[in-house]
Amino acid sequence: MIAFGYFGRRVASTIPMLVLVGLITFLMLHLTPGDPAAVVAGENASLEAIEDARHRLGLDQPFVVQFVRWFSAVLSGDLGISFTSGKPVTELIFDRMPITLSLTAGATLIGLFLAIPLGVFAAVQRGSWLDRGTILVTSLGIAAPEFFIGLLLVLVVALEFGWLPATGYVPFAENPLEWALRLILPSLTLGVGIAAELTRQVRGAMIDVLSRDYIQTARAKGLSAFSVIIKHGLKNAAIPVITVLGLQIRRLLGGTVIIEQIFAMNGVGSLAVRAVFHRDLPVLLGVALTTAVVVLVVNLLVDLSYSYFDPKVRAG
Amino acid sequence: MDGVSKQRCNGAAGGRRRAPFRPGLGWLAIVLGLFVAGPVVAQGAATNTTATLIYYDAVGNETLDPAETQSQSSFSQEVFLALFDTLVRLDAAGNPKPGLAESWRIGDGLTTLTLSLRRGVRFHDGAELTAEVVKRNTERIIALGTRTSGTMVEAFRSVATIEILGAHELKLMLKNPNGQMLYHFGSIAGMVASPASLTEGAYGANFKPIGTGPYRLKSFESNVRTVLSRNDDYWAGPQGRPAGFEHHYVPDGRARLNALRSGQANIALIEPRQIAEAKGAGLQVQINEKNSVWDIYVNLSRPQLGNLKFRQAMMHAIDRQALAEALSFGSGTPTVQFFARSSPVYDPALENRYPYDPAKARALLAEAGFKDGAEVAHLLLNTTEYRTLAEALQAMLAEVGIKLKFDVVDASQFVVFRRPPTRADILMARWGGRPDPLQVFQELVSTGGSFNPVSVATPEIDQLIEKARGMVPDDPERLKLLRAIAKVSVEFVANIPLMSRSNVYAYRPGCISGLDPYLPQGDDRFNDVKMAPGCK
Repeated sequence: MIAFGYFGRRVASTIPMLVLVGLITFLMLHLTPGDPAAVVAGENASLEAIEDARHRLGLDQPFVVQFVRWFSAVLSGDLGISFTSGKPVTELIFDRMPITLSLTAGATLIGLFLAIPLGVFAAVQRGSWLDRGTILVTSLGIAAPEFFIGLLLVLVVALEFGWLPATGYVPFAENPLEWALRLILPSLTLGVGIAAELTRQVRGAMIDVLSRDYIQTARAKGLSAFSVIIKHGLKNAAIPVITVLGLQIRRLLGGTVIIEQIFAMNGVGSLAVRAVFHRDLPVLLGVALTTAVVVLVVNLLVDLSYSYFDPKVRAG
Repeated sequence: MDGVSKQRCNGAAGGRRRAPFRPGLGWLAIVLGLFVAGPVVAQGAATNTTATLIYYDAVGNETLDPAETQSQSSFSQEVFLALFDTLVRLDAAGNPKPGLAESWRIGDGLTTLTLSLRRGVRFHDGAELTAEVVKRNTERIIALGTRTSGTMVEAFRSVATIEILGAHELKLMLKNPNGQMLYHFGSIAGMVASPASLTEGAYGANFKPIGTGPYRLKSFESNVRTVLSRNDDYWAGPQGRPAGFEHHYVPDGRARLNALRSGQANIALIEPRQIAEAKGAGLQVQINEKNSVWDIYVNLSRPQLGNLKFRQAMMHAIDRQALAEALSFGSGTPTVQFFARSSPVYDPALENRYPYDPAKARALLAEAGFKDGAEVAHLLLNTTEYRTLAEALQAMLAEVGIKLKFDVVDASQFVVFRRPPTRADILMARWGGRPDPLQVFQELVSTGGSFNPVSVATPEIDQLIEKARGMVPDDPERLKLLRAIAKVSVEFVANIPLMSRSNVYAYRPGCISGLDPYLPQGDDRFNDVKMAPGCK
C-alpha cells in the first residue's frame, strides 16, 4: 500500500514537468528562425502556395492558440501530423523507437556486463596491477568520444576483418539474428562509455562498503567470499551505481543521435535531426515530449529501486 | 548526342565492358539462359535476376505520392521512376520518346495535345491503363491546387479541359500555346497511378503508390527505405532486371561507403571526396555528369549586382579550374553554363568568355564605380559542402576587393532568398536541372523565375524564352533558340555558374551495368540497372 502511494506521488509529480517541457519546447521552436510553411510548400513553390501551406498548418494563428490546440490534442493522445511526411507523429515515433530503445538497452547491458565484474574485481584487488589497469582503461573510456570509438570499431571489426556488418538496422521480427548482429557494434560503441563510468562507480562504492563493520562481521561469521562480496557488498553498493546508471541512460538517449548517423540507423535521433532541419514542429515536439517521458520513467525506476536496495528510503 | 558517351568508369578493375551481341551466337546465349537458373541473357550479357539491387542514397522519400510537394527533384527520384511509368519517356539526353503514350499529336497552334496510349499495359494491381485513368490522374492533380508541388502546378496550369476520344486516346485542350507539355509528361507530372490509388482524400502518406513501372512496391518506410520487387508482367518485359530493388536513405556519406564495403549495399552514392578512398578499397567508381551545376543565384535588384560590369568582374574573379580541382575531386568541371557537356544545349565556345583574370576583374569593378571594392551578402546554406565552397569563393573575391559577408541559414531555408523582402544579395546552391532545358532558363533567369527573385539581366532573355515556349520539342529552331538564351545569359551574367556536378557511384568491380547518365533529372534511372552473375 505504502509502495503504491509512493508510486502514485512520483507519477503525479511528473505531470507538471511534462507540461513545462511541452511549453518550453514549443516556445523555443517558435523562436527558432526559419519558416516551416516554406519547407512544406516545396522547393519551387509560389508565394501563394507558401501562404496556403501556412494557413493549412495553422501557423498563421497566434502562438497561444497554436499551443493550446497542440496541448489539447496531446492530452487526448494525439501528437499531431508531421508537416513533411503527413504521417501521424505517434506512428513515426513508434516506428523509430524500437531502434533507439534497442540501442539503449544493448549499450546498458554491455555497460553492466563489463562494469560490475571489473569494478568489483578492482575493488577487491585494490592497489593491484589489475586495479591500476582498470583505472587507466576506464579513464580512456571516459575520455574517448563515442564517434571515435564507433568509427574505430567499424574500421577494424567490420571493414578490416569483416566479422560484423558496418551499418543498418533489421527489425527483430524480420530477422532476429541479423537484428542482434547489427546491434553489436553500435551498442558496444555506446556501452564502452557507460562501462567506463560505471566501473569507477562500482569500484568506489565497493571499496567503501567493503570497509564497513558489517562486512568484517560477515567475514568473521565464516560466510563465503562470494556471499560477502555479492550479497552483502554489491547490494549495499548499488544505490550510487544505479544513480549513475540512470544518468547514463538519459545521456544515451542523446548520444544515439551521432551513433545512428555513423551506423546508418534511423532511430528517434535521426528523426529529430531531420525534423530540426525541415522545421517539422509536430515531430520535434513529439520527440521532445516522448524523450521527456522516457527520462521521467527512468528517474521513477531509479527512485523505486532505491526503496528495494535500501528499505530506509521506503520507510521515509 | 548521347549522354552515355560522357559516362566515366574507373577503379581497381576499370569499367566492365558489355560484350557486343553477335547474331550468330545469339541462339547459344538463349539456350544457355534456359539451362542456367537465375542468370538470364540481356543484350548479350548474362545478368543476375535473383539478386536484390541495394542502393544507399543520400536523399530519401517523404511519401511515394508524385503529386506531394516533397516529391520534387531534390528528393529521391529513383523509386518514383521504378514504380511509375511516365506518359512520355525522356531518353538519356532528354529527348521525348514514346512512353505510356505510344504517340501524340500537337495541334491548333500548340493548344491541343492528343495522346494515344499503349494498349495492354496493366498496373501492378492488374487494372488496365486507359484514357479515363489518365484523365482521372490529371484531374486529381489540378484539384489539389497549391497543395501539390510547384512543378506540378507549372505542368498543369495551362490545361483547360480533357476530352476522352476513345479507350486509349485522349485530348488535352490548353488555355494557351504550350510546347513544353511533352517534357512535363516525361517527368513526375507524367507519372500515372492506378485507379485504386486515386481514392477520395488520397494524398501524401495516404496515397497508395500503384504504377505500371518495372518494379512494384513491397514496403515503404518514410525516409528510411523502400523495398521493391521486380514486376514480371511489365509491358516491356523484365529484361534481366534483379529480383528486387531496395532504396535506403543514409544521409552520412561515410556510412554509405562503409555499408558498401561491408556488404550491406551493392551500390552507393558517394561524395566526391571519397573517390580515392573507394578506389583504394578496390571498388569501382562511376562518375555520371549531370545537367547540374554549383551556381550563384544573384539578386539583380541590388545596386552592385544590378550593374553588369560588377557581375562580369565577379565572373573574372573566380578561378573555376582551381575550385573544380580542389573541391570536386575530379567529378566536376569548371563551367559558366547550366548544362552537362553532353547536353545538346551546351556550347563549348562560351567557356572562354570569362577566363580567370583578377586584374581585369579589378578594372571592371573600377569601371562599375566600385574602385574601393564592395560588400556582397551571401546567403550561406549551412552544410559542410556549401561552407567549404563559400570560403574558397570568399578568398577569391576578396583578392579583387569584393567582400563576401555570410548570412548563414539551414539548407531548407533557401527560400528566404526569393521571398519578399528578399534576403541577401547572392545565394550559392546546387542546381539540379530540369527535364526541359527551357524550364531551366525559365526558373533561373527569366522575370518571375522561381530562383530569380526580382529582376532580369536583360529583357532579351524573356523575349527569347517566350519565343521558344511556342515551339515543339523536335523543332530544330528550338535548340538554336536555347543556345541563344544560353549565350545571352552568359553574356549578361544572369547567374554565376561555377562548376558542373556529377553523381558519383561506387560498387564492386563489374557488378553493376546499365547505370547510364540520365540528363533530364538530377537522379539517374535505376530501371535498367543490371547485376552481374555472382554479385550479391
